[in-house]
Amino acid sequence: MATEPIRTEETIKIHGAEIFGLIPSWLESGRGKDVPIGAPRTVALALADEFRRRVRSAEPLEIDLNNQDEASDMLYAVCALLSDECVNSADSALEEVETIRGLVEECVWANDYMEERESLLCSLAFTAWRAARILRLARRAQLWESEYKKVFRRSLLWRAAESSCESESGIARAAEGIVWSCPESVFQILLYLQDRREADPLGTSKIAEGVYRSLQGLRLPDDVHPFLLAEAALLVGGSLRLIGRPRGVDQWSELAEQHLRSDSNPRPSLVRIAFLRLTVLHEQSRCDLVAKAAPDLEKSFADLGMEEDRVKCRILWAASLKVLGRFQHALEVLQPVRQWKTNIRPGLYGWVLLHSGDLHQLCGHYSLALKEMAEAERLLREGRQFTGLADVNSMISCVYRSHGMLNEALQLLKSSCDEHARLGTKSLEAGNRMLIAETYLAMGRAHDAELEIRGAIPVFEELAMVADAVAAVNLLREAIRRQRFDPKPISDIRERLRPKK
Amino acid sequence: MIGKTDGLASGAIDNAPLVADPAQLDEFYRRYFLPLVRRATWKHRLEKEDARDVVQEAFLVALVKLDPRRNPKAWLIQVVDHLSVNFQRKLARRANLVSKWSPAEAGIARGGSAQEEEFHGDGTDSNGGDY
Repeated sequence: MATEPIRTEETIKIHGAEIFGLIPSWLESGRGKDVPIGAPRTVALALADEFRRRVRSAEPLEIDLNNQDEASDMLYAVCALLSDECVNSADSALEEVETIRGLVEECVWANDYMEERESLLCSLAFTAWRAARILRLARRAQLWESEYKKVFRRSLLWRAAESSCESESGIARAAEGIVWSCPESVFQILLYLQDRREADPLGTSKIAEGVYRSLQGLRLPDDVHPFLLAEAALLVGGSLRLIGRPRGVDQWSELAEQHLRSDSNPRPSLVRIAFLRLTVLHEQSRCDLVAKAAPDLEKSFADLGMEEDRVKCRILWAASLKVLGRFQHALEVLQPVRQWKTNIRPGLYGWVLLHSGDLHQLCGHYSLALKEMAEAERLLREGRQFTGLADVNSMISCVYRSHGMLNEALQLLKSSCDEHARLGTKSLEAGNRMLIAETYLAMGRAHDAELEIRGAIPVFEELAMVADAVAAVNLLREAIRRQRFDPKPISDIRERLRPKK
Repeated sequence: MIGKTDGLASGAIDNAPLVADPAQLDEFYRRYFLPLVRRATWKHRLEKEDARDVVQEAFLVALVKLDPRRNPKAWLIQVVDHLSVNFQRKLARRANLVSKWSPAEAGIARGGSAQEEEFHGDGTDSNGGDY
């Protein structure tokens, strides 16, 4: 299971390439002609004004919203007007945008090939989110943020963001283009990068840093600028955590906090920063501290309506309890998340199953463990959560080890280790080398174990993973002791060197 | 109206029909062209006519650079966004140039090499990026 290398390009699918067959004909037929382009902006804006008046006064609408050709320009104009107005009249804009979004949600556009409806739904959700933030309605803002993410992740816009981050030059252009973009485009890039982080932490940290630098020189509305800067900094910090640079995490977290001082609704981002710091503590094996702080943090996420963050917090909490040997408590922490399964993205639920499967394995429930890990593997692969996917292998290897299948366990561990090395997730790679070393020791290959441990120790030192470093030194001592006290190889050599009579 | 154009076609359009049916072109117009024009107009705040030019340019880029293994619709959105940003940049540069060389300013600025440099700098945008 999951032994083949993971390739990013495998997830890129072919979608309707046949449409491009028509492009030459289209260009040729349009040569020298003024192709009609729909209603002029001024007409669309006038229609938008009238539409809004009717919506506000609950009068019947003149326009058929189910007719995409007729309604789309006008609805784009509505979005543009509400986006401009939400800063100065947040209260009325929020109410209006929520009503209009409800109407757009009900629209059925049968031939919406470029997913304009989703684009409009996103823009309206973004305006509602901004207005709620300005009004300091934290929960309502989170609700709109979640709604935005839900639509965006399923839409062509997400694919477009993915497309722009596929090549080095595309990434550079995306970061550079931000200077000319609207706040929503920046928001989209940041959301996309958050999802991409687990697939390519090193690459994401570089792009996010580029985005942050571009944002610094940008004049955006005051209600979103500090937030976007803080989120970009937080994204860099989060990516650096994955590749094992805790000092970088600290610096970027502090930077994010600085930006949030001038934000109208800083609490959600501040709680996210606290969570990031907790993940660093977990990696430094300070699981006692994590287990102590996680319940309060989870409550903060719940109070703010930040469901996905709440799930992540529970996963971290359970992972820490697991390290502390409190398996049953850890399973209880994960239990409520199973009921929220439909409300969270599948990739994230994959992480829940991954840890739950590992806990079952530690409790000796091997068949249940393998069942959950297999499902976790599928969800993590689909969600491109490559760091989690690499973990599946190492966790399954524990099941093999407990059944004495050491060669199979070793293979899985090596594949997991290679994958972490490819992703640049140093701490996890070092952790895997320790598991490999343990397996070698169980196989009687003490020298190979020693080499693995010697490779892991500098990483533990660099990342201040004190408990892991102590465990590594003890394991190293054992590996050396076994080599010293194994007289057989020496007696074999002595026997071979003895002059023959 | 003709179909495949010699010298322009790449691997992406090898299967282009020799002569496209008007109904197909009408469908293409509604499904892809108009929505992209609307995107450039409202997301990037371009005038409709400028948005049309941007989308036509994106189709020209597609002839040369489209990789059929990628999601073509997402790719087109990305190219239209990029070209729109380039267009805005050019407009801003031109506005800057015009304000610098307006009659009131011209007397002060005339003869400086810096202005000349700026003039040459305009219009050097390339759309030949690696999409």
